[in-house]
Amino acid sequence: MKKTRNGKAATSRRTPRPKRKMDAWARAEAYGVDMNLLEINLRRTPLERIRANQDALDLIEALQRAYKRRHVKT
Amino acid sequence: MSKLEALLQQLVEHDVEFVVIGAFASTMHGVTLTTLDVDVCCPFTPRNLLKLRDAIADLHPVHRLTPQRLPLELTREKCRGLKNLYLETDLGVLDCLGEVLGVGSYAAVKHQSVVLEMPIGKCRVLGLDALIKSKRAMDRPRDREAVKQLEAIRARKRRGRQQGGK
Repeated sequence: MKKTRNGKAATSRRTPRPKRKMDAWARAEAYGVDMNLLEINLRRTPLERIRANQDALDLIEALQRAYKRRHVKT
Repeated sequence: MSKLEALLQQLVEHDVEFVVIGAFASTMHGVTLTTLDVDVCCPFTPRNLLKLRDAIADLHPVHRLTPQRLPLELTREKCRGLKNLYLETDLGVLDCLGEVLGVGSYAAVKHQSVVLEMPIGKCRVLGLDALIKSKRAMDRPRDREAVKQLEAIRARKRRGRQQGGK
């Protein structure tokens, strides 16, 4: 490796290092997608995904009902 | 059986012609974002709309975007001129669109759909490429996240096919 007088590695000004192109998986991860959750979901069949969606909706509904009940009491 | 699944089954059993689109199609492809409604694209012919009416007749459908929440009362005459239907039923929200932004008419949507064999019967779902196009065209914040996930799913599938082909 070429070094300058002060001992630091010399950098070439002529050939900038090419940016590595991110693949779609890495782009989604960088965007903030929980890729482990996506992996888990991809192991499911379409029908299982529909049911998981409904389970989530049912849970949200139950929590909202509980919140309303609590809100009425206080 | 989940409510939205039962809603789809009603359409399949009554031989309604439709393609699942939107967030529900994304869910079926593997996107992890939760959705409350089923969006479908269908031909707005009197024949198909009357089949749709019969399919959901016992689910008390109402026009969810009208202030009075008017019940769905379709006749052959009333079908003319309709382009979209935004309905709420006992099993959930069902939005029916005559075309999809970024993809086109029902014919184009059907052409770019895939058939999924499900316990409720065969169900057409918008394909990944077209779904990405439609989500890009909508470009709301939730669409942008869905696009990222759909592109990752597509890349994973392509890689799987390449590895399987070797």
